[in-house]
Amino acid sequence: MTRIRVVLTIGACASVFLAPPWLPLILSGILTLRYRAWEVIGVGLLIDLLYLGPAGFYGVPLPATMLLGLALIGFEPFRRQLSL
Amino acid sequence: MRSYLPNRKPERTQALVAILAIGVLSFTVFFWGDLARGAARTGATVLWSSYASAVQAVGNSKLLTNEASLIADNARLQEEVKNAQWSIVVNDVLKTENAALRELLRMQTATSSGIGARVVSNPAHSPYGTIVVAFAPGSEVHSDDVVLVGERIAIGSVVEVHESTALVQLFTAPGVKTTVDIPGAANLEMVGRGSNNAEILVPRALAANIGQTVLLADTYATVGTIAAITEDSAEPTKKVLIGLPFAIQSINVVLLTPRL
Repeated sequence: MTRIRVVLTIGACASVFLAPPWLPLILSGILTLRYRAWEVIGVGLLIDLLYLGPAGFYGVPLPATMLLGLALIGFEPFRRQLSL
Repeated sequence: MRSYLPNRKPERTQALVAILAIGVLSFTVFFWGDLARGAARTGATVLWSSYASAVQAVGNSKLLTNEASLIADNARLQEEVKNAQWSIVVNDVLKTENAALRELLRMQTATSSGIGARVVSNPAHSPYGTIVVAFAPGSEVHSDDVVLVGERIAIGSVVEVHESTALVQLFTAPGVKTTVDIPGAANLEMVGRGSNNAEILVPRALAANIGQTVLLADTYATVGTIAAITEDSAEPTKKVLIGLPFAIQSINVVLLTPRL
């Protein structure tokens, strides 16, 4: 089980560099649905460090994808409902 | 006595560690954000370059090719050479005609000078419409420099500079506003819409045609061409959609030049 989590995390991190943005989003979504995956915040932070300029997104200087990662962790109650 | 209540201790420890890590990360990014971004982009440049080299090496090797694909490649390349030869002839004619017209109008040739940089990240991989470019350490690159393809096509501006890398915000990135000129109107606001597209709202009375070039304000640099015009009779303005004549993903080298 931990092995799948590690593979998904490595896949999400690698896809930040080498794939379109929907792939890390999907992998992070799977991670948060299956596990209490705090590492998705790190994946979001990595995207922000690499690609976000000082003016932010639409002029809002906030780490948007890191916050999205935080929001994905909000899947926790949903995960519990699914008894995963 | 044995307890049958669920043991929540590991979950609490995990949550505490995660909260602590998020706190430390946020603190680092807030106070040393520039340093952290510079380090991340420099590290990523090594990874991107290695990946590109590996892809090129695999592509150049004959491991993944067969006779049929080589024949197809050969035919395609011969076709490309023919097209390129034809383009050279047409360009030579246009160049001569352009020089003659400039001579007639006594216009000076606009030339751009700047620092050459290599595009290391793929524009399609950034959710923010940005690209990372790498240049020789010590080059004089500044924020707000214009990023040119060739000498005349502007694709974005430098927003953050590190030692040997810079982050470029594309003019077509979602929500990015750029001042541009189109024939018959100056200082219009172009708003990026993502996927190599942007739009401008102009008065309905303004005559704009599909195919006309859009210039970066007060420069000779082109930011795109008018791809479509949509208007509603109830609105006082019409929407001019701007497209790039090429895919940004295909660019490997750019020129970083100071804004006039």
